[in-house]
Amino acid sequence: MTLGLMHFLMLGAFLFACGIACLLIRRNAVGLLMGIELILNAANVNFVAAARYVPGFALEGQVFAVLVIVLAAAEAAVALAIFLHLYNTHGTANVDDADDLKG
Amino acid sequence: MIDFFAEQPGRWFLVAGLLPLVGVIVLMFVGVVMRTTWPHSKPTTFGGWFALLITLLAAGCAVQGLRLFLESDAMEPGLAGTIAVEQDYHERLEWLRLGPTKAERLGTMLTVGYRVDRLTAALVPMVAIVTALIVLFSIGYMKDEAERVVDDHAIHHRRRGRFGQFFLYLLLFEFSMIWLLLGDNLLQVFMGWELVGASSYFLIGFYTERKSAVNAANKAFLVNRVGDAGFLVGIFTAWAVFGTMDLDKLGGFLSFNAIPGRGEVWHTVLGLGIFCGCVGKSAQVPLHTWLRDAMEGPTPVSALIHAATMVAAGVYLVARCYPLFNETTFTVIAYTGAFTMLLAAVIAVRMTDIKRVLAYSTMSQLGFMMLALGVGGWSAGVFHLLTHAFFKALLFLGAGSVIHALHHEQDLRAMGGLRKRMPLTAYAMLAGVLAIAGFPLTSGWASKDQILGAALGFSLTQPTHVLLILAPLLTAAMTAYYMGRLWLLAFAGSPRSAAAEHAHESPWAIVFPLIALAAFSIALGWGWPIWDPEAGPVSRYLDEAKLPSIVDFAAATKSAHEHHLIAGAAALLAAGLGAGTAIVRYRAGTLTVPAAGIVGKSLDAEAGIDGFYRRIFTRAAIRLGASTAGFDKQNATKTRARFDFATLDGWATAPADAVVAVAPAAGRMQTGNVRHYVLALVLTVAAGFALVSLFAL
Repeated sequence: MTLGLMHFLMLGAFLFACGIACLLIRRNAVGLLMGIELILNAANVNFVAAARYVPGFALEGQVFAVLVIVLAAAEAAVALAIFLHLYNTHGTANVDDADDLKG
Repeated sequence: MIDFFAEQPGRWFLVAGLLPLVGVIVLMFVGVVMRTTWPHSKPTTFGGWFALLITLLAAGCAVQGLRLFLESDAMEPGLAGTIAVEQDYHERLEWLRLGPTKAERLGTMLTVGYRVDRLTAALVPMVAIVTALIVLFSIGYMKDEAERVVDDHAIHHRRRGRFGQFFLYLLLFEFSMIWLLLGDNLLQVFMGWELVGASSYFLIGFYTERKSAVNAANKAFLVNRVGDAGFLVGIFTAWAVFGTMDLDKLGGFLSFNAIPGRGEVWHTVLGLGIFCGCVGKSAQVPLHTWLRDAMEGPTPVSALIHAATMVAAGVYLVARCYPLFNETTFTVIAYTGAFTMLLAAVIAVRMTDIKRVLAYSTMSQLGFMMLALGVGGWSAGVFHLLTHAFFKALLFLGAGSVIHALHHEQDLRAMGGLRKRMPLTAYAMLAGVLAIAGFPLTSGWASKDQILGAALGFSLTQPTHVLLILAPLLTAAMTAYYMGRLWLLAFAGSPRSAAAEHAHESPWAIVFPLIALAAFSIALGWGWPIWDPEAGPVSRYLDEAKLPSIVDFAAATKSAHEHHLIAGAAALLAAGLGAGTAIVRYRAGTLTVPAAGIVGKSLDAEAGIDGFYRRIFTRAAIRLGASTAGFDKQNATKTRARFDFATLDGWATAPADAVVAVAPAAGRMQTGNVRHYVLALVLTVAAGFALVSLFAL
């Protein structure tokens, strides 16, 4: 059995599903962040696989993968700052408690 | 500037009408600036002098317009010439186009414009001159209003003076009236008509702190509304049935029956509708009740309303719409006038308030005009409108001068002996009294003589209408009586109160208009030979101005000319009888004794009309309003809910109810929980993919 594009796409889909499940199940804010990382990395796997297997995507796939990594870092920085503030003001990192704006 | 007038000489009249509007805007602006910038300053007299300047300019323009009109009229003789001249005094703009633009279809266009014919050309200068004199009078009369604190003597209320505001209203009144006179179509006349109503509302209710003034203003406005409803019916009939509101066209259609298949019924509806408006404005029975209460306004306002403007508007409209009336309408007009003049004269005999006597005499004189118009004496009626404007303004201003000198005493019984103390007022007033009573060689004599001639001619040709000559004769006698009584009570004998004892002649601003108006009252009808009431230039001018009518009054007019002398003699006899009675009763000292018997009862009858309206209309309307409001405020019962749903309420509240029903469910979706949102997002995307794959495969 040789590794093909389909295997990588399935791995990406699996990671994506894990990320979504993490988002839905975890209450802890940091957990949510981890879920988001998983989703982003699922996309990364797809990009890299496309760079390897799809003709004409050799460069674009890699560039996009790097871009997503940068994006993930920025997003993590902002999100962590928000969660830190949430913890400072509410004394918890549970996102279910962060419903002050609900009417 | 010269070109502007040379192009269309009728623009002199237009400018005369628009100048007061400019004055209104300026005064409004200045007033707002003054009140906001220096709220505690002393009110200035600027408004009065500015208004005087404006009205004088307007009067100058109007007189210049009349002069040019007469000149060009004299150059082109005959009816065709008159029509050619009127083309020069007529401009029209398209205002609104309704429907297809192709042909000259009926009922597709509204225009705005002015038209000056002989009637308008005579009336606009009259309005402008009388208003200018009244403004001058008001500067003297309303001087108290130019103080920082005014003590309202009637209700002991202290407030800031409102000098400028008064003149603003006067100018607005003048503008509305001239606009009404110049109007080229019924709609435009209606605009002026309503503006006159609105400005009279402001002026009658000028002392807004007084409950009675507010009530009187409301009453005048509402009663006029009743008449206006009829006027609107007339206008809409003209539009719907005859397809135009243009006065020229309407007259043409009706005179020549150019529109076949339009029944006589519509013709009557049109005429009676328009006349209904005139009944309201000119205070004819049964819509006369507002006029007496309108005395609540300051005296110059009474002069303005009762002389040159408001009440004249109704008579003017009847004269203007002369070609639109058919025989039924004319009969109604004549009998309304006859009944009004009698009723008003009977009441005036009993009144002791100097202004109320004059108010009822106005009503009575308006009845004369209506009667004259109704029996085909067009020029007689319009002539009386003109002369009456001057002598009634004189009488009211004279009364104002007296009231001013007596510190707001209006009761005739508290006057007396003022002839020695204020001679100028007394003799100017005497000129007015003689004119209204029909004393020979005064203007009122000339016009009233013609009215009686017309009425006599009409009754002789149609003997069933004998009442139409008896009523004016009787009224002429009573007029002489009550006006003589007024003058004798106020000015002759010795003072009957301390206020009358200490009265002084009023300042020149008050006296000068009186003298000017007295000159007009005496000499307006003069001509050569001086003993012929039809010889005056004004009378001749109006005789030629007569508008055509579809009813043939030729026989009546001929008969009127033949029996003119008899009518004149009868009128003189009647007036002499009336005046003689007044003098005899004065000598006997019984003038102030209230009349008993049938005359005494009639006054109660007048009060009865008011009470009748109050019971039937006012109270019913209030009750209806209260009950509907009560129904609306009831708690929601089942019947009411069903009723509401089926009616207007249902339509109005249905959207709100729908929102209220949906909102909680929609709100529940917003949980505020991040994970729920994620779930919704995921499910939506999944569903989207599912849909795409379903349709793609």
